[in-house]
Amino acid sequence: MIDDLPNRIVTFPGDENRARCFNHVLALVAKGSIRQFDVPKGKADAALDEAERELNELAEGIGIEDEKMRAEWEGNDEDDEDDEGWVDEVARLSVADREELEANITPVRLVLVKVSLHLPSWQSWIELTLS
Amino acid sequence: MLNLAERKMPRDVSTRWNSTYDMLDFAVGYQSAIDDMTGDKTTNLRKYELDDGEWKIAEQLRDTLKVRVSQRPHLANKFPI
Repeated sequence: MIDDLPNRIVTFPGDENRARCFNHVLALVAKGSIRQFDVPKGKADAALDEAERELNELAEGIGIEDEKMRAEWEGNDEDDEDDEGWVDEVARLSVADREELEANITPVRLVLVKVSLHLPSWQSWIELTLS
Repeated sequence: MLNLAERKMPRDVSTRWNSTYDMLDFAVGYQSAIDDMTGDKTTNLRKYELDDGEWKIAEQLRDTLKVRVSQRPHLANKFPI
């Protein structure tokens, strides 16, 4: 890939630009995709529709678990987050487009929240059904 | 119960994007067991029940995230969210 890139991109100086950049790009793409499905924190608008209300209700409690896990991982990360040049494309959308995007994303968020909340009951359910 | 080995359900951690894949892949694989669990009166999990459309979404998202999994665990650890 690195051998071929200078032929395709005039401004690419060659293999002194390490392939690691490519990994970073991959990681940015992955996290850009996934963070669309994060539940916005404390979004207690009166304008929340039923699905969103349900979502916020369900998502309560996940945050605490999440913080715990995050704390466990802290110190493991040698690389600090580097979001330089990060552009929030969503913020650039028109109100109508953003609403449409939200409407499309909400069902996916709901699925993720529901599946996350299966976890606390799973172990005891398994034990129950195996006994 | 079903012919599925007893397994721990992976937790979705927001700082590890491959964990979302693990969680979804588990859920999709254990769909019938999870449906049994959420549909059972005693577990009180009705509101977490996934309908057919929602299971489809879970599958599609799992498949979308799968492409990136070949790079793990290195990438997700190196570049956490």
